[in-house]
Amino acid sequence: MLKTNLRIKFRQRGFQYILIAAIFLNLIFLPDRDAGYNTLLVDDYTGFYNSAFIGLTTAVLTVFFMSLFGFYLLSGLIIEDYNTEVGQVIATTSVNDKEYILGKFISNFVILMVIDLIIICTAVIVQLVRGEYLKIELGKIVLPHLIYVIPAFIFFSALTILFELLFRSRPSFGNISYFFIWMISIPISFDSSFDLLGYHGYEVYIRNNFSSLYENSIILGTGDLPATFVEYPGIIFNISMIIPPLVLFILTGIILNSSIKYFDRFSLSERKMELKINDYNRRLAEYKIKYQRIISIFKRNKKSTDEIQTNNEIGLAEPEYSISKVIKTSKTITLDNIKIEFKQLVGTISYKWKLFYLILLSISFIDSSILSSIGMIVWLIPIVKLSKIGIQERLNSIEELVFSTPNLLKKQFLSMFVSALLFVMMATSPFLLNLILFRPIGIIGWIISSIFLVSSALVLNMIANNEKLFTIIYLIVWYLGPANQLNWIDFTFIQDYMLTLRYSIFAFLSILLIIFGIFLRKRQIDNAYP
Amino acid sequence: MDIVINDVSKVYKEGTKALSNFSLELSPGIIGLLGPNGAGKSTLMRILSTIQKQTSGTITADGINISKDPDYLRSNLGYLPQYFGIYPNLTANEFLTYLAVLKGIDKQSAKDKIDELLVFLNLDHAKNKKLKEFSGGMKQRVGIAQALLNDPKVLIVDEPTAGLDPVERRRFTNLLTELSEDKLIILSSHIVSDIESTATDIAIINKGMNVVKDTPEALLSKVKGMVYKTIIQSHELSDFRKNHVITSTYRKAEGVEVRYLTSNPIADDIAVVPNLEEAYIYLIRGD
Ligand SMILES: Nc1ncnc2c1ncn2[C@@H]1O[C@H](COP(=O)(O)OP(=O)(O)OP(=O)(O)O)[C@@H](O)[C@H]1O
Ligand SMILES: [Mg+2]
Repeated sequence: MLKTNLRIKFRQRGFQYILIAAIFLNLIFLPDRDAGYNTLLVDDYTGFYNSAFIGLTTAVLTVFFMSLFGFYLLSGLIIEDYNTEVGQVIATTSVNDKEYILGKFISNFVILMVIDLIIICTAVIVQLVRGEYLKIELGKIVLPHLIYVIPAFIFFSALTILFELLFRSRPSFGNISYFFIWMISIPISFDSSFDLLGYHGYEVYIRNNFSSLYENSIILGTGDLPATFVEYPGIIFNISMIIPPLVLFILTGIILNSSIKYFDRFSLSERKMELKINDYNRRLAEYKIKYQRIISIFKRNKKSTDEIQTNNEIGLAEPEYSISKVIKTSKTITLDNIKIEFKQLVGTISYKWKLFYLILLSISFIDSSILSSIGMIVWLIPIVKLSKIGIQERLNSIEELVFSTPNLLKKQFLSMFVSALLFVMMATSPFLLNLILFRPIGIIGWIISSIFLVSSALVLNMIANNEKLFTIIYLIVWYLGPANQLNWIDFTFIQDYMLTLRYSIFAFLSILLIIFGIFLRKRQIDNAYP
Repeated sequence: MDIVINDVSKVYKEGTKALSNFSLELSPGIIGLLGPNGAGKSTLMRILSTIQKQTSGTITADGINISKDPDYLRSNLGYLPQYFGIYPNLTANEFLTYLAVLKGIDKQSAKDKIDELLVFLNLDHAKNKKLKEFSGGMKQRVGIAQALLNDPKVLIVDEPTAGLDPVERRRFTNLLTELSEDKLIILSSHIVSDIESTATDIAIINKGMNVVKDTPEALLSKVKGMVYKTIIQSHELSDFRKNHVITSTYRKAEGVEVRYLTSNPIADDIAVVPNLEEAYIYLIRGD
């Protein structure tokens, strides 16, 4: 099983992309000195590119990024199992639950470590390329990875499993919750002695020895160039450094343990479910036999009653039937197409959501000061549904039914797009209400934002062929843009709403995305089954 | 509608040759596709349903190349795949409406047709239930219903009776017979009796090749006088199996009654009337 897991993941495109991204990031985070920015900057101090500094930088960045992307890379294995025959084999207890979970855990860890190994190799090459210190001290490059990356990876390998089990029926919610947990927990370790990334120790070292300004420190940024370079000697041990890995190990143990317990229950309940269905079928069959008997007695047809008792072929007293053949077809897109696509996309909206929506709607009457908070919340709502558009057939293994219908692209693309757009507009309507009341000029932005969001979801989903790429990119954009006021990527125009070139850029991008989306959809329909 | 399959091959990416130089001409009626696991039945049916592309060769429907213009066939097609999913959060009624809309069926006829099919397939009581609550056999019947929505001229059904109980299976085979008047129905199954009771023609496919296509009667005549019956003791069975192709065994008080295929029977064994399963076994073995 371990081998199969690894083979599946290594072959996956996601894995290859992340590997390329990791190498690329290595180059970005160990920039050329003329690049105009520096990394691991404390006030204006940063390290020369010696092995110790390069080892530390790559470790910090590996933990920082892989704790996020690693999750999206690893999640899905258990669910895949449950959707394939492997799951049935497991469900019928050929592998015990403990072995299964531990197997997943180990394969997760191996995958992450392969990535880290490649990052370390690139680090060596980058040190030589930058050429400030040609002496490669492998120990100093590897040490930060041993101290920070390995405990973190062990922890994340387990955490992924727990998330997958907890959110197995709603993986999109898992994806989103994980992002928020990451967003909150990682920055905390920057500033505390609970040093998960190795950054805090470095910062303290620089402060104690060089800088006394205590102004700012950033892991990536322009800072005040030119920076002052210092020779970073490498990690200096102190006893408190043992605490974070220790805590992580204990947490890992707890997580694995509860995963095994939880998994056990969940496979058991699944098995019970199976029994229930069989039971239901049996009762249905019994009911039918009884029913048939009554009918045949009513018809005083003794012969068929006997046959029913002796064998199971009870279709003897069959109703007269005939299937009608009048079918009218229409070739144009109608309102029905949109309605039914909407239904398919959105399903039934639960009371919780309706209530939440009403609350948002009533808040939006207050005044313009709450605009940005409402905006931030409201633009998060559509993410789960949007992460499915364009790939809904694949997600539900329904390609063969849908893609064998005539003129699909022509008939469906527009209604799919419009229904998703309607949904986004509905979900963000409290924000619109606030705009209408207090900032009407923003309405144009709202329309462009909605169209841009739908078209990018469509394209990203179809490129990745899964829900994750859009989800993660969207969350990052949301975090940087609307939440942190990085205005040039804020497609929601919450903060910076003046009519500027940005409107036209996003509108233009949307058009490009739609055209690309049509192309991707056509390709998808034509190559439904390789 | 007539379909002509001409010299079609399909090689999968991993190198499996699922179909090799397969040719077949089909015209209205029920064609039963028989073949062992992995013979290439589903591959052939997917290609015919325009869901998959052949590596080489051509297929025409009424003279129109289906690779170049798939929509002509698609407009007249009903397809039930061997494995398929559903939208779990839609009800049976909504799901069928969804597919009806995609098939371009006008609203009112879709509604009438769906009502009719749901009653007919015994799903009427569950039509407003979410599909995720459906049992395997119920899902299969939803699949059958969607294939019939547009009153297709070509109906392709891949192991349609899998997961159905005997009653539903019988209803379905009866339905096929009723529908077959003016339609081309292509049906694959592992259950020879299902095909026996419906098919007007049988095509046997093995290792991606077309072994034979003929009427059931013609196939039966190929094994006429080649099936024999004898009674042996239980302990002789494994030896007997080594030397003969056994097609069936019945335990009886005086021993085991075996039917076997042979061209030179043992002395005084009795020739019996062969059944289709025996014809199938004979033809698949290729001797
Ligand atoms: N998606 C695929 N990728 C690679 N190989 C495939 C794929 N689908 C089928 N094959 C291979 O092609 C061959 C034919 O498979 P196919 O499913 O057409 O057989 P079948 O006759 O329908 O079998 P069954 O009776 O089990 O349904 C098999 O060897 C199978 O392993
Ligand atoms: Mg098959």
